[in-house]
Amino acid sequence: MIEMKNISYHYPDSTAAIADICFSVTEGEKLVVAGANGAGKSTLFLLLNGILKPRKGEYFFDGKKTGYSKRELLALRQQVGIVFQEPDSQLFSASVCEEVAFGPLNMELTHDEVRQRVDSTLTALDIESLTDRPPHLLSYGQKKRVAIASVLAMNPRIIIFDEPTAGLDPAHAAEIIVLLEKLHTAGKTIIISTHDMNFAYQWAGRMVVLHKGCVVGQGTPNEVFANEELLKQSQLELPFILQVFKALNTDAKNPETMAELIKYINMRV
Amino acid sequence: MHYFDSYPIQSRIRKVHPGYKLGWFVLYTVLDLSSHSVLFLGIELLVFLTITVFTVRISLLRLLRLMAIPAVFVLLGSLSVILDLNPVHPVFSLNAGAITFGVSEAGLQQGMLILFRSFSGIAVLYALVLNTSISDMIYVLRKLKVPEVVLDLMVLVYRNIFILSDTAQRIYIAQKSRMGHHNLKTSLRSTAQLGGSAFILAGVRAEQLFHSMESRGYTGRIHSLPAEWETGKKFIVVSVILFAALLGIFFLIGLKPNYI
Repeated sequence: MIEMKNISYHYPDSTAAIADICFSVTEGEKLVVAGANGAGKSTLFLLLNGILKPRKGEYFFDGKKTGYSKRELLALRQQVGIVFQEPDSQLFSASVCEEVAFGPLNMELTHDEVRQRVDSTLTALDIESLTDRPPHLLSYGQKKRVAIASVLAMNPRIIIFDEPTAGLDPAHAAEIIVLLEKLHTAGKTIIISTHDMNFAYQWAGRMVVLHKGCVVGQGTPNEVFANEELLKQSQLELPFILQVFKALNTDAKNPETMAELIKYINMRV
Repeated sequence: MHYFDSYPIQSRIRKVHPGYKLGWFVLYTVLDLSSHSVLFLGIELLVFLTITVFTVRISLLRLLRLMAIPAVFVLLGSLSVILDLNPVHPVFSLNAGAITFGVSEAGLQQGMLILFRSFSGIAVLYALVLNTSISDMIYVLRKLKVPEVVLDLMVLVYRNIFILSDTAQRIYIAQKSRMGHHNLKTSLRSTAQLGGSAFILAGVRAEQLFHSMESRGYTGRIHSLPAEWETGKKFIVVSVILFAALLGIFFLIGLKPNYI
């Protein structure tokens, strides 16, 4: 559904942030975009949402070339939502309810429909008790949920999460992962950037590796992590499961989850 | 951290239409400003302390502590009225060479009036502020046809005050942990740096905020949902009776000058 052809973008003051990349996303995918800090992940996301306009190249959405007029951008942003890494720079309203209503109101829905969307989104994320609260009185985990709700309420087909689990404790991070799974079963296409390779390995359907603004590798997690040169170049570390499995020195098929790894080890001893 | 706006959430009259609250605030402020009786102002002060303690479910001590913030200004202001150079009928005076410092009777009366008027005014204001959230307030202002630009700015400024203070606090701790405030010299330098960096960081945050708003379809106006209120009959009855009672007392004693 998304097709980027030879897209380049550079910030006014510096060298290329995204250099001549081709990038595609198919409907219903679980895509992880990996890469070191400064590899261009965030810039790529801003391009996908139309906040940045590429200097070169073409961006197709559903086979149609996207334009950058106000109307076309609004249509694009309804389809592609971004949950930013830092919830504090996403939440601006005086109450949670208004924050979540912001996007749907911009879509010019009727007030009843907006209200209904706000209620159902807050309930789905289990934060309906926070409705009237101002954002600065929320905990970091709660802020993160509100940030997600504010995007979900617009009902986008693709949701981009920039480091969804960064800064969260393991319990909260696990809750977010469960939520991602739920969204995927509900038919959403999900794109995530993360430094947590253990999570990426178990979750991703496909991975795209960025390095210095270029796509240097892509494929299933097993394909990506089998390519040692790629990992070294883009400074990615091997997931824990694969490290252990490699140390076992076998020809068997790579285990996909921790449970499979444990089962395999038990079988050997 | 306990901010001011954590109180409206726990208010008993949270669901009451903010228009009523603002209306009562205006009426009581008019009473407050037109009374010349310290006794009446004292009664108004006590009534509003009670109202706030009851509606906001806040302890009296905490409320008084919140009121201590403006109290400094009020006390300094009243003091400058009470103290006089070369007073005419001094109640108390101090000679310092050619100048006589003192307190005249008129000055004392004027000062007490200002003191009581300010404090009862603050009590009325606090009853409004602690019972009304900023988004309710903005809703009323919108109904009163305050320009949209001003209201949008209010929302953004309100939110960013907390982000700015949060940033400043973090920088302060970071500086302190590296001996940035251990004497006057380093403290001055650190404070200057803190001021500069806090604004730069706030600028960075503002840009990120703008991106996130744009990504949700922002085109220059923040729309808002019409709110739903449940103004109980009880609120209307009690508030009308209370106002009638205070208005009665006002006509009885509030108009005559009365000093302690």
